[in-house]
Amino acid sequence: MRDRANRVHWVLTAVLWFGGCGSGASLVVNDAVVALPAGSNSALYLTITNDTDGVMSLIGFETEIATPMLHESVVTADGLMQMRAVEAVEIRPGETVELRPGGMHVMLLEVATLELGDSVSGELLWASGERTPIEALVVAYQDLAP
Amino acid sequence: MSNLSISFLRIIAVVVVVTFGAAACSSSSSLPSGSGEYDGVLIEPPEARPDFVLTDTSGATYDFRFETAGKLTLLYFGYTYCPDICPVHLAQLASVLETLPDVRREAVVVFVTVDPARDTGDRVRSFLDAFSVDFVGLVGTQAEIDTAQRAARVPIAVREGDGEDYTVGHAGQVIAYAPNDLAYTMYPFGTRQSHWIHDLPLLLRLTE
Repeated sequence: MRDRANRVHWVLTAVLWFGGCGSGASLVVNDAVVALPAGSNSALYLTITNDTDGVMSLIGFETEIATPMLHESVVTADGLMQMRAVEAVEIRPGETVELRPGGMHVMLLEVATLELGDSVSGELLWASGERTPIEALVVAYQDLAP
Repeated sequence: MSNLSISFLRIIAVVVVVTFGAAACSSSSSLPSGSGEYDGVLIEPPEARPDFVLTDTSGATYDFRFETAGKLTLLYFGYTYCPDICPVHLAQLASVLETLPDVRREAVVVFVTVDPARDTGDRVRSFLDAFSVDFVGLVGTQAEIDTAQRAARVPIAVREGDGEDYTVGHAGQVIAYAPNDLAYTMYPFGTRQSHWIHDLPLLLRLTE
């Protein structure tokens, strides 16, 4: 996914600076994309690097274009692909977490009409009460395939 | 060097080989891969093309075994409200077939909804058209769809959650039936495009 991202130059980055986390401490968000829906639902994918001193707990996402829910796709022992609601995604200091197809992602329900190349605004919500504004590029599902 | 020292060195050597061997295995791709001739996950023994009847998106009866007999057929169970697995899988299939015009001319992609409560024929058609107008979409009653899943030997899909925004757990693999009406391989989510591109022309040639 990242290779394709680099090819089409759609890497977007959002950085939130925390005054209370020491000089230079930040959350870095890369590769934020929303898949152009084929039905009414879609998903937000991105990577987050926690460069702060503390554990950060992602608890949600807000956007005007859809109703978002944190989800994880998992394969059960009997071979079913299931989606499970996730209450929080903990990111330790120095850790990078990838929300990607087939894994953790932000499910977007009843997505408004979008076009390829649109930019979707939203905010990542943290357990600390902080918010990280991001811009995600609308891409085709083809661009997200392995 | 004493016998004791030689034995000790042999033990060390075995430990090193086993350790690095294990590391090599664990560091290899976790993505599904078959062995030998195909890159897909092998189905052993090969399974016969299943027999089930559903309704296509135009409202016509679709006898799967009859309609697809003798054709390379890629069968997938999913649902249109799926935000993550289904659309990525179908988009990848469409992309693969774009690169393989000979296969595209001969192959049939069949998508069976596992969400009959919400997926109408029109809705499935609109969903599939986002990937390819050539993809066949099938709908049916819950009982008919369960019968189709059993016939294809995939786990029966399970509704998860209450309310309108429920999700559906379902088989994540695409099953490939060769023109000789046997399935030798399947392709779970995460299959690389190169694996498809390698396997599909080979499967297309299996006419007997």
